[in-house]
Amino acid sequence: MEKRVNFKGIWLPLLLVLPQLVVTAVFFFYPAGQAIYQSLFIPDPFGLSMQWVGLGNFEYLLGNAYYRASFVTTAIFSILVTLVSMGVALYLAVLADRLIKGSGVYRTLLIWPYAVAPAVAGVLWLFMFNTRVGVVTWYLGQLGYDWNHVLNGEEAMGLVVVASAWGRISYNFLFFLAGLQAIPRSVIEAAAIDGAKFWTRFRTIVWPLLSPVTFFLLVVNIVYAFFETFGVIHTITSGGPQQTTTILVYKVFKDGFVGQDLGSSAAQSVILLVIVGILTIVQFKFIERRVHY
Amino acid sequence: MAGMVERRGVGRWMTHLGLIVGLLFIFFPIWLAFVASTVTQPEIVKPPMPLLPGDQFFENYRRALISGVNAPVGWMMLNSLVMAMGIAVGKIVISLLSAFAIVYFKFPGRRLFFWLIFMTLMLPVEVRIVPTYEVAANFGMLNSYSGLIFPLIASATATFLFRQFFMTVPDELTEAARVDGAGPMRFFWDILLPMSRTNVAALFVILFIYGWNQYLWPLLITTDPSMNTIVMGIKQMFPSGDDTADWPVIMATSILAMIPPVIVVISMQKLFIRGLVDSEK
Amino acid sequence: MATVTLKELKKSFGKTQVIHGIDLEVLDGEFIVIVGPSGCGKSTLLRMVAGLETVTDGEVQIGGERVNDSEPMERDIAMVFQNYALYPHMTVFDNMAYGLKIAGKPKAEIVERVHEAAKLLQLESYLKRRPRELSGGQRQRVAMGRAIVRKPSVFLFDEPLSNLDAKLRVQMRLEIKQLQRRLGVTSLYVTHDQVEAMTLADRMIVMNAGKADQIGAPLEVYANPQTQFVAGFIGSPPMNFLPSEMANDAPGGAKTLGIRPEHMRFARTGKEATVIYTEALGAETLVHVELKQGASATIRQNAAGPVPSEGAVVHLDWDAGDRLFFDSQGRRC
Repeated sequence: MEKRVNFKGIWLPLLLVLPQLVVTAVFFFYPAGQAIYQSLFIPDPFGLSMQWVGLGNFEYLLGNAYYRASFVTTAIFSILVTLVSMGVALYLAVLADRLIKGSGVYRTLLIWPYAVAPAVAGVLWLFMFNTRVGVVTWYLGQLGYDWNHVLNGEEAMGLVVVASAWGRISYNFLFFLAGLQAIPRSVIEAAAIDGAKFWTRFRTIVWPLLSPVTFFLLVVNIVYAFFETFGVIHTITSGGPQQTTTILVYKVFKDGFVGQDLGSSAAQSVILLVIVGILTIVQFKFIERRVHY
Repeated sequence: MAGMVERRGVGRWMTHLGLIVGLLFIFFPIWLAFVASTVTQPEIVKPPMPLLPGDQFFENYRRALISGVNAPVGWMMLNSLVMAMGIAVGKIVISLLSAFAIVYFKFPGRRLFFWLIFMTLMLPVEVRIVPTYEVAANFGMLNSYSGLIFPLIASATATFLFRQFFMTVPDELTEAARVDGAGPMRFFWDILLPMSRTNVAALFVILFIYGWNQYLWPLLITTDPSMNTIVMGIKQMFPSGDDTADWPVIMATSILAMIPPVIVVISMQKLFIRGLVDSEK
Repeated sequence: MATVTLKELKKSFGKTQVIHGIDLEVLDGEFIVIVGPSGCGKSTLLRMVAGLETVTDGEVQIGGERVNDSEPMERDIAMVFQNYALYPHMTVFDNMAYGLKIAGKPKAEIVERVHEAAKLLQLESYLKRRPRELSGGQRQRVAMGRAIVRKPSVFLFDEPLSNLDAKLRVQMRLEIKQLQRRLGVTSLYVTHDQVEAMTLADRMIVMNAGKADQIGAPLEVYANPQTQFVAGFIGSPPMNFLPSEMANDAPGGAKTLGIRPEHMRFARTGKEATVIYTEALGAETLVHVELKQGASATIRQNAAGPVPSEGAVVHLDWDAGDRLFFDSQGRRC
């Protein structure tokens, strides 16, 4: 797509793109290049020189049980966050869509969590499930269940999943509701005239028509779970216990800043970079296809 | 699904009930935080804590805002505000300018520039934190507002959004402006910018929340408590070791941390939803 | 006020040539209509005069000065666009005043000139409104007003009426003509509507595939078309084209015989034809017939006269003086 009219001049447009170019070069391309460069070296213990190791960092990482475990953790975490938040959001969106009046009120209330930072969401959930003062922990104790996510890896995973999914419900809800409201009413009514009950209508008409939105959200939520949940993990579990909630992004941070293992951290960045690249391509391919709907 | 397919009677109440259950799930954590911010420390550390607000509201919030734990929360909110505004305004300004150049000029390197920007769509700051941190450190940007802001405005979403919008502006308007004697910058300022108002506002809402809610980057770049932002500052309030956390102040801070973005989202709901949908297109 | 001169004007987009050398002398105060089917290059021609398209070859002169490389504003022209191109966020007043503001005119003068134009166009009570609060006809007037306040030496119109409904179009056509007479500003007007061209033009240019087939006064073009394309394009219903063998005295090289519908009449003897269907328009009736040789024709019949029924066999006749002959290239012979 091109404009028919263009202004003349070369210096003015270059001047106009300069700010973005500078910021992008300095804070994006240079660091990304550095990450790739550093991933090929190991710094000596005093940080005075760098030793070329080629793909050694990558070989080490892929052979490292902790790193492979972090991959699995990330996969489980992302899938669970995506399913929980999309499931709850779809449930709420379908209900809100059934109302003629009042869906606006519910929408206003349901978009709150979007405004809550993941790190703050982490603190809220940590408070409820705190082993010493948490209300939910206490009531679970009354029921005879001894909740302790500080020691129990599965409980820790459950908590970070719920806290991350909670913050994402608004976003998914808005897209699902918009998708549902975009389905022509006449199609639903035609199905109703054909005698289809609510569940049948949902399964055979609504769900297929909603599939572009669903697929879009699937990709976007996985990206969210991969990168933007750092705050949740850091506030609730700090990756523990025994690394059971150490997702890839958290590990980059931990090895790079806490462990000061720059080569390994850089190599991890590069691997993440490849993963995001793939996800982005999937997303764009999909958006291209979505145009046909 | 309204009209003849609308549920009547019992079905309608079931729908409301279902939504209210959902609302409880959404609001319980927030409610609990609010309650905790209005009671005393002993009421919390002796479980179960009360589920209705106490009378310590002013005391707890005053303590949080004025003294906090490491730094006054009032300060941290100011830092967050500067960061969020800086990111939102900075991104919008540089994106408007570069989108204008890409759409309305043919200059050498336009395609290359376009693809360079496109690539930045792919990489969140989380992926390149270590080298980006080094760059910021080399520029002396640690513990500074510019360090909080600049590395986060290098992203292309806004540029793409404006490009998309500019493409829909009729060519005739540009031609009419040229016949009226307007040069490129005059056209940009008098015609294009006023026409982009809603897009700018919608994007502002999204970017403000994005900036306000940043966590990892401020965590790395600010070591001085007086430069902490509120979202990252909460975690710093937890004591290391076995000391008991000052829960009323921490929870008051959590509530304070969500108030500005919630106000922005709720009061500009229409623009927010529009911005959300547009920026994901 | 100024003259406009085009000399061997050519335009190419990449390797495709779209204007193949146009020569034109527009007199001071003249109303010229450029007419042709879509894609014939008429808008491109106008936009080259405006300075919105670069000139590939040849010359554009306004007031005797070469303006090929001048910005639109420097050419002392004003333009009315097809979709009006009003600035949506500005009031009617600001829309009209914008060009004057840029030119740095004193505020008092701007107000005076905008009010003067608004009065002329009966827009005075709408000056504070935005374009979206106006009807189509009012928007059209604002677009005209924006052109008038500049007091340019040339008006350029790019299909200004094509977004209006039929009734409004006739009314605005009249207004444009009156306005141009009153102001006496040299005007170039592009349209694909031959009725607009006939009614507005002092002289018209009929364009066909990037060439000017004919330049002349409307009635002259109508009565004496130089090419088969012009003959077919100007006039509604269009001229009937029959094989030249239907005339015994066709000149050498003639391939096609052209007769206007109003010059055909029913007679006792003459070419035999079958009536296919008739269209009664009130004052007149169009009779569509098929001739024996497979050619078809339309006869414009005064409603007062007898109208044959569909399926009837009729005889057609015409005067030898009303015939036009065209060769295989479509040129008159």
